[in-house]
Amino acid sequence: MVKTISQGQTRSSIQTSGQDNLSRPTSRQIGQGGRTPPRSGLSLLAAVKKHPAIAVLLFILGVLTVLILLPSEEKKVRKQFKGLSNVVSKEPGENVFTTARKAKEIVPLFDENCELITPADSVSAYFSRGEITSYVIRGRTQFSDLSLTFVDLSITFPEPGTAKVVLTAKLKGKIANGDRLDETREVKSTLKKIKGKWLFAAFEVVEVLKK
Amino acid sequence: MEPTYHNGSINFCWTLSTLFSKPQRHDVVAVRLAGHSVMLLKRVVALEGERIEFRYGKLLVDGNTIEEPYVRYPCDWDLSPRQVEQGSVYVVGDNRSMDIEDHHFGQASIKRIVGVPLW
Repeated sequence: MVKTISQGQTRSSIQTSGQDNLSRPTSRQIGQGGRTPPRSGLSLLAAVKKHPAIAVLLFILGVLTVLILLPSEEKKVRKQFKGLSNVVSKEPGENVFTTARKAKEIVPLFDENCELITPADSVSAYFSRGEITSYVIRGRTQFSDLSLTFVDLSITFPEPGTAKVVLTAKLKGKIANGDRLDETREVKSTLKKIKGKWLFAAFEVVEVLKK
Repeated sequence: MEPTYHNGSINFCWTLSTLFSKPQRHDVVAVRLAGHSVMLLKRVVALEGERIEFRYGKLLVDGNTIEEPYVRYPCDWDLSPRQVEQGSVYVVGDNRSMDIEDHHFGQASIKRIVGVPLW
């Protein structure tokens, strides 16, 4: 409780009851010169109470922050395809260090065994990570430059821990002998979530024209 | 589809055509190869249930030779007989001068046909 203060009373003579109030400035003190700054938390709360629009804005900002900082499962799956695109693609004149780094980055993208189905070539088999890596490395050496891009990704999650993706794969490149490659295919892919990471478990090249 | 349609040229397709009628022999159709935008222009040469083959460059459907005035380049293709599945049509390009191994052709699901070129 604040005692009444008469004119001319000094600051030290202000008496309060209760220990908690000792450090709290009185309304008089604040009014006298604003020497104690208002608490920001309290002022924000007051502002929110006064202007509900600020609360809405803060809520939107919070949601956006969560969305940006915590990517959705769909974003994680897309990132996996971007990773595969990066390790397969090759710039002209790629140095050996980049080649070695990319070779190393292939392994963690795939499940222990990945199924590959290409009906046009009558291929339907499981390949280990090591086999996939060696095929990719061998394939890349055939090209002076190579670009693999994935577009039109349609992602579904039929069951927890499984993602099914239908996409368009575009493979463009220049073969060492000078010939150019430009292939576009529809591909169905399955990814499995293992230890929190989405890994490629199957690829099937859709046969649109069956001879 | 050379020489009827040139590679890389821009064509407009009438997508509603598939709602009104099924593709007929000799129709040029746009087949969805991948995604929403990658299309192939091909000619329908055989319909569902028909038996197709190429012999010395000539198209045979159910054993009968089919005249193809749109094929202007010499062709020496040979393809053993095969039956077109239900719900599919057999499509081939007009450029038969290229090797059969390099040519994109075959049986396509009718569901993948998105329309016909307007001109």
